[in-house]
Amino acid sequence: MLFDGHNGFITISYAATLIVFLIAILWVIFDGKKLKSALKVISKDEANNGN
Amino acid sequence: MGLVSRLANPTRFLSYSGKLLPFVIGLAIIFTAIGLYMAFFVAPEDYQQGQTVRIMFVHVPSAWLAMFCYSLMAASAIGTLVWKHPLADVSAKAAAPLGAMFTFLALLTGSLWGKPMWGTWWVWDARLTSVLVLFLMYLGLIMLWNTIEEPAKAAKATAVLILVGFINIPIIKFSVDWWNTLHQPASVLRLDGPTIHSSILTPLIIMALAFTFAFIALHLKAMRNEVYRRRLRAYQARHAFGSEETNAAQAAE
Repeated sequence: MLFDGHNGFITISYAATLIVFLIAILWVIFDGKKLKSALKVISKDEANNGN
Repeated sequence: MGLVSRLANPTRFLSYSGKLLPFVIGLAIIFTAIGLYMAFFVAPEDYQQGQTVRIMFVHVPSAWLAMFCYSLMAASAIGTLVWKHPLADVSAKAAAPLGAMFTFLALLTGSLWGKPMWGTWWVWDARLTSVLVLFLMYLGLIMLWNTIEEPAKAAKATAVLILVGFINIPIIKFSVDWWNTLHQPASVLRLDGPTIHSSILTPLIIMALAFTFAFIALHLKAMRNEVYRRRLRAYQARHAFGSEETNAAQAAE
């Protein structure tokens, strides 16, 4: 049913859109997490050096 | 201009955007849910395109966002070159991959619509070719940002290139009027009003709003990440400079 007639083109369009959006969402989330944790390590280091 | 000036402070931007993000994400989810429901269960089949018209609900918003994203980057480029706004380059840099994403989706879904409707995946007509040029420009800009190490130089170079490339946006928009293209002329954003029936237009507008809110959410998050990345780089540079000074002092002793 998903690929009957022209339905395949519709299914692939929506699936591709979903996948591309998911990649973008995961990219911004994990990039942010990685950067935040790196900054946390630095602020701890700086606090230790200050003491 | 007042808010733009206030946001010149990255810490203030992080605070405002952190509060704004959940609302924008919520709006994106709500509009996506309504839009998808209308696209599949409310919108009728088109009398010519049949079910394939449903591809338009993702193709058209992607194409709009692809051009909107570049226009936002052009506005940011002016902010970089004229006002030297600290967040202007951050905004442009964060928007580039998202613009590339929407352009890629517009090309892909357009191709998937073109095969059953036109009988071909691709033609070198003015609209399709100018959108492909837009995609290549996004990739070129991303590469330029990553190639130049010094952030200030990279910001200036990319801002100039963005403004030069902006000429492509009116070319994309009016390509269907200026040249004889296989791609149909504008049917929504026209001076004499849309030519699409409201049963198709309403879900299209709702999906466009969903894509717009999704873009705003992704852009804000990507901008926040870029601010963090610059803070990290500044710290690393400071740290490296500090180590060099210590080494030099030890060598002098």
